[in-house]
Amino acid sequence: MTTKKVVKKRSKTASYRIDSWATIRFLVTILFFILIGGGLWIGSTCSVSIGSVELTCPLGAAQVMAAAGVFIPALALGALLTILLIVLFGRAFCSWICPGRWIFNRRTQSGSRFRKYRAWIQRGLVGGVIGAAWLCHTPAFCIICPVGLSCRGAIAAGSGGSLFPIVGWLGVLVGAEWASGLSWCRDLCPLGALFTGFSRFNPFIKVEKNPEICKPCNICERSCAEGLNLAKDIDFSACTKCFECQETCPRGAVEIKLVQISVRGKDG
Amino acid sequence: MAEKASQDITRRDFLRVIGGVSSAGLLYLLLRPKWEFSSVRPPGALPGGDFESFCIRCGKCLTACDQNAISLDDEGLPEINGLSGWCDFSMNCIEVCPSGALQPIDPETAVIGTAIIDEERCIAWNWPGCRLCYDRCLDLQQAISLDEEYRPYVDETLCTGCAACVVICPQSSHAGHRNKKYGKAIFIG
Repeated sequence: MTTKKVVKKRSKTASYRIDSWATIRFLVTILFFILIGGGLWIGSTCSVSIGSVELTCPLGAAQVMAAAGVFIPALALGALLTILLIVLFGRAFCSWICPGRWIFNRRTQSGSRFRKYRAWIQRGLVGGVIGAAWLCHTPAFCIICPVGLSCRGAIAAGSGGSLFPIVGWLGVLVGAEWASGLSWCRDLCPLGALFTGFSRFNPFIKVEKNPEICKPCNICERSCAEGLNLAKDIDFSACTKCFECQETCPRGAVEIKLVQISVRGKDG
Repeated sequence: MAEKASQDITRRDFLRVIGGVSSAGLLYLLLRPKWEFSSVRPPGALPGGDFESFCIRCGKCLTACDQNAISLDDEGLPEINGLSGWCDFSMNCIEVCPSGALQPIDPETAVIGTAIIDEERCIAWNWPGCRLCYDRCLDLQQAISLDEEYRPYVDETLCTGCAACVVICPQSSHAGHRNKKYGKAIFIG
């Protein structure tokens, strides 16, 4: 009886928590795709023009240049600007704009051996994708990239096109993720791997534990889509700035460092 | 121990799945049937394989097109399929292309294909009466003419491949180059 009551109460409070980060992130993603699909914004995550400035997906630019065998200055400049954004905001794209966060949502634990070789696996993913583009003379990953697929799906839905290939490819990716028992965003996404490489230099909006309050209960690791543990880990370049850890930390030990000023988490 | 064993299996499975998916994808990309059907690309598109290499598949050209002529094929490449709209050579798509897959061309002389009438399916060739494509083309290029039995013919020197006739034709299906023999052909009917 008592446990039932507790469960009911919890679900009720959860449904009213509109101010939670996950809801805001979901709404931002949806808004972004309405902008793309409604034609209010010429471009997608692959390439977008904001005024006279053009931002280009760095992995797409690298693949196109590898596939074409030509250096394309406009693409390279757009990719550089995007890399600058990644340095400024880290991997915030992954949790705030990328729909992959909502398509793939495996919270599997990564094996310790896997974590040990993660840096090399990420380099292999990026290199493999660019190598495949060079071999096929086609930006091969762009065809199956879940971000690009979703953007093209939004555009096709907005202009009355067919959604069949998009749904098909996304199904293949979700199937591959399920069969491998890994998480797409954490272990398999070449874009995430590339962004992790660049967000090493990101100094802004970092999550940090308050060492006086933190007791290493590892709840943050379970809540984190990237499997980061604030109590143990030192390198937070994979952090996607979703602030799930701040929400789930039972002691309120997670702080968000905004350059210098620190925003305190919930009181424990 | 049990945990370790399951971890090993997971990793092996992972490698197998990744290998399988990526090799299947590569095989598909290398061996897909290009000889049967290829799409009509927007104006200024680089020839065949070059276009596939240069296109970043961002879909900007699709949003920029006022006529809703461009749609995406299975690989995310833009094509003019003659189902939703026709090309008015406004060159909006070329202006927004970030990667140079669509190169600037002169709108006066631009040709993206040639209409070919499928005489087996054309209404006017089988039952006299329909002259929709002729009327449509009168406003644009006057590339379609009628013979004494009111059957349409296409003047290949005048046709720009704008696909306006394909859009209006009640018998037309997905426009594209059906066969290497016909070159840059868009079929009507």
